[in-house]
Amino acid sequence: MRNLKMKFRRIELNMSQTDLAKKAGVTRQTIGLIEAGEFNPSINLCIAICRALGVTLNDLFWEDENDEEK
Amino acid sequence: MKKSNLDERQEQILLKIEKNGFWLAFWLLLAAMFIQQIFFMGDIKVAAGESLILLVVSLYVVISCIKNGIWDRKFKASGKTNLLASLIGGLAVGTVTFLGLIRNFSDKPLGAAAGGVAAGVVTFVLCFIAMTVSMRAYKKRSEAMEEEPTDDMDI
Repeated sequence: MRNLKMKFRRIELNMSQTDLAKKAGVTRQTIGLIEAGEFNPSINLCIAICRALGVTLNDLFWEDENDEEK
Repeated sequence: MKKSNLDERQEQILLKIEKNGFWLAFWLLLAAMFIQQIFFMGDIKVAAGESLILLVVSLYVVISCIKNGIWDRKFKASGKTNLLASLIGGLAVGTVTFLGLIRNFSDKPLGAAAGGVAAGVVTFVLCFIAMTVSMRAYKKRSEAMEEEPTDDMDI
């Protein structure tokens, strides 16, 4: 499932995938794959991304049960 | 896809076991080839099977890594790394060839040494060329993968 919350927050901060990747200490492709829902990051990487985007884990990675079924 | 019997933690442990198993088999295969080379020098049939397996496995690893833009965990892709790795390969093959030759032709130590040096140099050069070509392919692929997508829906 695509992580649109993460993508929108990144765009909101006017950051490119490359900028976020540098801040989180990963490659750009990893950020792209997380946003596309094709890679499940570890909790440590989720925290690094949240810190880089100035949000909490809940803001980006929590899904309601109804959303998960979509 | 069939559901796995393992949970996430077990899955990670199994991957680690499989990884260790792979490298154990890889290095033991290489060691077996070197030992066979020392004891049965000149008989190409002795280690032909092992050589073919090692070649196929190595090609699979190299091509898969390049395709995914991966070089190594610790070593940077540079001429210095290639030089060092080729030197180690050359030294290993040169030593094994020398030991094999001296075992079979103990009355010609100079000839054995020359054979060892020749094999070592050839291996060094071939390794260096192969690593340089691989490194260029890796860098090209890596740069392409790190390019920012033009379409917003792209990965």
